[in-house]
Amino acid sequence: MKLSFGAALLPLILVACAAPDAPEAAGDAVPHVGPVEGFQPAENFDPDDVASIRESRDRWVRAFAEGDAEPLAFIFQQEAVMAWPEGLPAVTGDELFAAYTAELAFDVPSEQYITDGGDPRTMTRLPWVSYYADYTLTLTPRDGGDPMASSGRFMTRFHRQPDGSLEVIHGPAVGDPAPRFALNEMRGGEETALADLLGEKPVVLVFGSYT
Amino acid sequence: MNSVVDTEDWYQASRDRANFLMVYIEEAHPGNTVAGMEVHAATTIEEKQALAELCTSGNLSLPTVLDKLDNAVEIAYAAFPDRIYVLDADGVIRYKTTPGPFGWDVAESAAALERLLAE
Repeated sequence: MKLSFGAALLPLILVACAAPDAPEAAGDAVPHVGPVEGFQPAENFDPDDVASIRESRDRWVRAFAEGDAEPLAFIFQQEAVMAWPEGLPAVTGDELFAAYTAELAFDVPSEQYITDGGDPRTMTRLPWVSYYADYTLTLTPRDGGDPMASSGRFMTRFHRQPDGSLEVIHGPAVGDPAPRFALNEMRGGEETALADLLGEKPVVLVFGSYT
Repeated sequence: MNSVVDTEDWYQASRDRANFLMVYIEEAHPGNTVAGMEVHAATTIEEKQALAELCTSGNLSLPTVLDKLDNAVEIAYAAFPDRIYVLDADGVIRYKTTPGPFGWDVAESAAALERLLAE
């Protein structure tokens, strides 16, 4: 992931902090946001160890609470979604981070933070790890507006790589060509290619499972 | 998938104007018990087929294909645990939901398809 919000947002942050009613210490430090290559979720991370998975999950939760920019940037990538309090539009990944950096300071008593990592025993058997958490936090506008309560849930999914590291899955963006595929039909086994469905009509792809 | 009925209704209402395809990917919650049966992650393509049939039986009549055991298509689309994409006839992605279950939105997807059809 490449993020370079730090430099781009610096003027904006300075202006916000210089506003007459700016609350003190509301993000005085400009977060360092550099490229995050690969992923090392916890010290001595072991993707087959439940405690290790939990530790890395909790580390991100703490990062959220403490406004630690780099892990947050990693969590809130393109595929992540977060709903702001009523009146503010829901934002995704990069946008969220920009909004967080430019407009709002998090005030999150850690005990208000609830994590739900699903069943780690299941995670360890699978080629991926999902991190999801319920959160309750208070967002305070840097320009001195009223604090706003927010709660919701976020989820990020990582795929296990052959070397044991985990990487975030990215989907194609709107405007990108859809990845082509050919798969067997559920019954009968006839092959259906995406290319065969294109040409005349739009195509709707519905991905899902039973549980 | 939290709105099987909505999906089926949308398919029935729009199947003449767009090509629908369901891609069965993988169980989001292996180990859960559904209708008295514990659902496990498929380890063979036969198991995957059985799960896919369970998933769609009586509920969904969309043409359905099975992702392979390596879940390559799911990964290519970041589709876990469920997700809808709307493509134009040239195969360009014009709309996608955020990954479910929090982002799954049949109504928004249907609106996106209508906008595309109106172009």
